[in-house]
Amino acid sequence: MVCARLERVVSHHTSFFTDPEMSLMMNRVRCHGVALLVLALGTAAMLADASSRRAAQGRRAAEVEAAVRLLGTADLALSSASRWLRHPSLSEPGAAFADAPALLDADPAGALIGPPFEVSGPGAGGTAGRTMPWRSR
Amino acid sequence: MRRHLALARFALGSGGRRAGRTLTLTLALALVTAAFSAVLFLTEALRREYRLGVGLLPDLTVQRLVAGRPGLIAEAHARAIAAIRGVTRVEPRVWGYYFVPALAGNFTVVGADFAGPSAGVNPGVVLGEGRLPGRGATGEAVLGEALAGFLGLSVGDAIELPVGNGSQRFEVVGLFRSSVALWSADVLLLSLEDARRFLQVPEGEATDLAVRLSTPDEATVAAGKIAELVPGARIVDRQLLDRTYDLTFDTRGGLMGAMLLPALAAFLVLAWDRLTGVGPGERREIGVLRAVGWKTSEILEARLWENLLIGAYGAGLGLLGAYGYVFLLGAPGLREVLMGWSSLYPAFDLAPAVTAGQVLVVGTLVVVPFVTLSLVPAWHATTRDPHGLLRGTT
Repeated sequence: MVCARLERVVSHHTSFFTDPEMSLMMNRVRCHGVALLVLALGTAAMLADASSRRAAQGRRAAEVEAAVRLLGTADLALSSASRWLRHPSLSEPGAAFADAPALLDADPAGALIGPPFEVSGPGAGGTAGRTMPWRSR
Repeated sequence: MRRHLALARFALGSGGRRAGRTLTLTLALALVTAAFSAVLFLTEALRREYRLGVGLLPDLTVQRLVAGRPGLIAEAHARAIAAIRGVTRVEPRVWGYYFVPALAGNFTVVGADFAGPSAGVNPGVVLGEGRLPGRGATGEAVLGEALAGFLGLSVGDAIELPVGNGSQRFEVVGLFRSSVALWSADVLLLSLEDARRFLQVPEGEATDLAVRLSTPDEATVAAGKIAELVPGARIVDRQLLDRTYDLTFDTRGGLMGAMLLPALAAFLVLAWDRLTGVGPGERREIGVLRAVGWKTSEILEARLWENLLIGAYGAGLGLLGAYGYVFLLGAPGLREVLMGWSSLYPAFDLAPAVTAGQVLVVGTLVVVPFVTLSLVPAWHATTRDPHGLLRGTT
């Protein structure tokens, strides 16, 4: 009985793939299947590349640690145009407004590096312990 | 299976018959995905770089605010702070900025205390060339890669920098490694004594105090005690920084948001186009299908296949394009805009923070709304009278 059922299943699938109408149908589906497979492989290659770059980053961790120890700050040197962009963690609150009279934020890097709210907020009061609930995230 | 494949085949044929529209939708979706993914990839990679070094920061950094700006802090405070229970070390630091008109920007001057915390640093690890300034030596400097490149200096060269009414001469004894350019690109590293002279910081004063604690979790308590000891002090907590620095790359949407607005608008226009109704051709097609006995669920399934395919192609191409743009090409255009007007751009290779989970989330965020939006008008059309659809009256 099991054999008969298996036979029926096999014959169903065989006829499915040998049917000329279905064969035509499959050609188009197969074509897109291949394209999607290429995309999936591309995505897998992207993830593999990201992983290998992360491993390379891990290998230079000791160099970064030594540099941070020597320089005393972990702030990134992405922009040295203003002190609050160069050292967002060590600049005083409102530093962004202090570069020139009436200057708000002239540098496009301000779109990327904003002073951390919780750091600059309590800093104005002088201690790190207090929080500003209306600005906390 | 056979039924679903037949519907998929019909959907593919349907997409092929409207090749122009299908291609436009796919490309538009790919562009929107690429724009959002590029910014996401770049900011996530920068955040990851920052996290590499944040663990080594002092538990507390004590500054003194004068007229709302950081002023110099008396080294005498260091002794008082060191007496607080739980404080293991207090290091007065001397650092600052030097504005160079020719550079149209600042470079960062750091005084390294080779008798203190910098003593244990292995020069071979952090320097690409040369050595660190000798203990007690004067007139020796280590330069960041971008700064040395901008000034055209290499190890063994000398530079004379104006200070006050006079000038100070430095010999370049070392260059930082390019692998740490993100931290050291604009740095002029001097001995503590040289930095004090160069930045005109009087003896007995410092730029700030770095405080190390035996139990970092007690930073808030220690900060409170320091605030009582040093009136007007600004105390930066590393743990707080660690938690909140994550936000610094994206708290201000600013220009990035503005840059993405056109892409977002394009996507919304597309979505609106899909929402407000199907075209006359599709309407007739749905009418024919309804007339020959297709069920609503079958028509919707065919549309689902068609739009899923467009969504998958668009999201896939967008993600791959964004990755190539950011990590292989170095994000030309986006990088210049985001990095500001500085003359010193660090040359760095970012490590992508892209994971399978992120790819899945971005893909889902793009594909699901698109497919959902596109099903609504099709469902509307299928509920109408097939004759009306064929005649174009409904």
